Amino acid sequence: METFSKQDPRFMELGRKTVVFLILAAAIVVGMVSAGLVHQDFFKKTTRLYFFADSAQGIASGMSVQLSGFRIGTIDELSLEPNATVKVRLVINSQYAHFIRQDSQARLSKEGLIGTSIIEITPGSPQVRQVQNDGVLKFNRAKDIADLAPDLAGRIGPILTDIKSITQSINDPGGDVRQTLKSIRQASEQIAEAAASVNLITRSGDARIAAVQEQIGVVLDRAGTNVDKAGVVLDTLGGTLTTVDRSLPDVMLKLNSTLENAEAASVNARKLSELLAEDLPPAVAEGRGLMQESREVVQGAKKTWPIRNYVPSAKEQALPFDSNDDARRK
Amino acid sequence: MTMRVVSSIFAVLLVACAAAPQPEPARTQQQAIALNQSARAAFERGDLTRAWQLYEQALATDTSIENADGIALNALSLAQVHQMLGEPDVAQRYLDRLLEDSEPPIPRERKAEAAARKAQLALSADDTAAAERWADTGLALCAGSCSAQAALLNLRARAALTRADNSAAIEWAARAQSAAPDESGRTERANALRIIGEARLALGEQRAAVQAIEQALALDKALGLPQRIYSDLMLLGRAHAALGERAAARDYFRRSLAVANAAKDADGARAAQAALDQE
Repeated sequence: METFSKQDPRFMELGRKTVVFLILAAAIVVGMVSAGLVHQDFFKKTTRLYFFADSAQGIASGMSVQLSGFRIGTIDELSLEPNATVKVRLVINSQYAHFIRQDSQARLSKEGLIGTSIIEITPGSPQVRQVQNDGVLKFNRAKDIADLAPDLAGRIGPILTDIKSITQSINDPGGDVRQTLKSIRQASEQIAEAAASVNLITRSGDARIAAVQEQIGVVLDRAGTNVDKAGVVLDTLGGTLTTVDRSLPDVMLKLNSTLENAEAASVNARKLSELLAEDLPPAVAEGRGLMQESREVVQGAKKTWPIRNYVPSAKEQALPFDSNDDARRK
Repeated sequence: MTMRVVSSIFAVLLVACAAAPQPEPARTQQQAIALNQSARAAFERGDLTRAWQLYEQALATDTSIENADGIALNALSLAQVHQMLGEPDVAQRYLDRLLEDSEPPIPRERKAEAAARKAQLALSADDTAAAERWADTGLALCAGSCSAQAALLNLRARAALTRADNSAAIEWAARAQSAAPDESGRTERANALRIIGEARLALGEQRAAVQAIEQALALDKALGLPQRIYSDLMLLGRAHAALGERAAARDYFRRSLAVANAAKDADGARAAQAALDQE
């Protein structure tokens, strides 16, 4: 050893270093064991409780024991009893033991519908005494998905049967649903046709009303002119009334005839204006557009060589003056 | 060689295509032109009322842009339309407005034409002195040469003829004939020849009258003016009648009657029939 220490300074005081190393290693091991024990609630005061189940199915050692969603302990041990029941020992943190009453129950359930299995303890009635160490709780199993499935199947089965029969009825061309839809479609088409007819009638009515209004306007204008003329005529009439009296019978006869002619002419004019009211506006509009386009084309062509050389430039002109205009009869 | 010719032709065509078109008048100016042309068309189809309305619109448009030449042309036309409508007072007002010193200033040539129309109105009103005065005013405005010069000289000649100053009439008409030598002056040349014929006839120079009037007739036929042709035929009839050539005279009066009837000139037809009946 001395030889090594002489040759390499790292071997100096090797004994002391070894002791320190072993102490540190032991401390680490003790720390780790202690941490494990702390984690296992080894140093916490616990209360042992029991329940008996008809089967150990779904129950395992180390399984979490919860109260109102809080973890308060674990399953410590399972053992099969002589009567074929399973004895389960729970280790509960004593600080939560006061929540557990003698009428509290242990129940095997799952976190969620398909989550981890847990033992859930119900709090029990406040007026009942607290459960004591080594106390026994009642046990029941909550229904899991496997238990619920047959029940669900039993309940959904008739619903599916109904849906199937409804689907068949819908698919059947002679079924009520199809027939009803067909009737609705026919009714919709009829309503649409009726709406189109109403629209057409309304539009036609509007056009007729506009035409009638225009004709009324013209008639009123003419009536206004005629009233003015009538005023002048009445003045003249006043002066010549005595003459008229003498020839009134003849005049009345002629007037009747004239009125009949005027009425006939008025009817013809109305028919003509009705016809024109329908055909003339579109024709005039189209004609105007055509004339405008033609003018643009001609104007464009006029500006194009060589046509522009043959088109005289547009300018204002006075009427030609002829010195002999008023001299012919002289 | 062929290639060179084709290339040259192509280059010429290209230059022609590239030549810039004449600048277009402003939009308002175009409106005035369109109105003026529409008014002229209405006048030529005999719709004097429509022509008057359109010339008024054209005048207003030209006034709105202070287009002096346009104002003058439309006012001169309006004067003629109102003269033909039997409204010489209205015609006079349009012409007076042109002859006044106004803004924008009216070109002297247009003023000369206005003076010519005033002289014509005066002749129609048998105011020979006023006609001569306005004709002289017009000739002064012409300052040697203008488009209305031949007409002004003819008006001066007609005024002299009205005063029975036949020699002066022949002199003025000869000057008018000289002032209208080209194609555009054919109307006034024919008028001048007709005045010379009338003056010669009045002077008893029937052969010279026939010669002048036949020239006038040829020009009027070329111009296609029925009323002038009628006048020429009537004058020729009278000249031949004065010469004692009754058959020829009757022939001319018959032709005059046919022309008047064809032109629906009832007064002319009556005058021709009366002359025919006398022969």
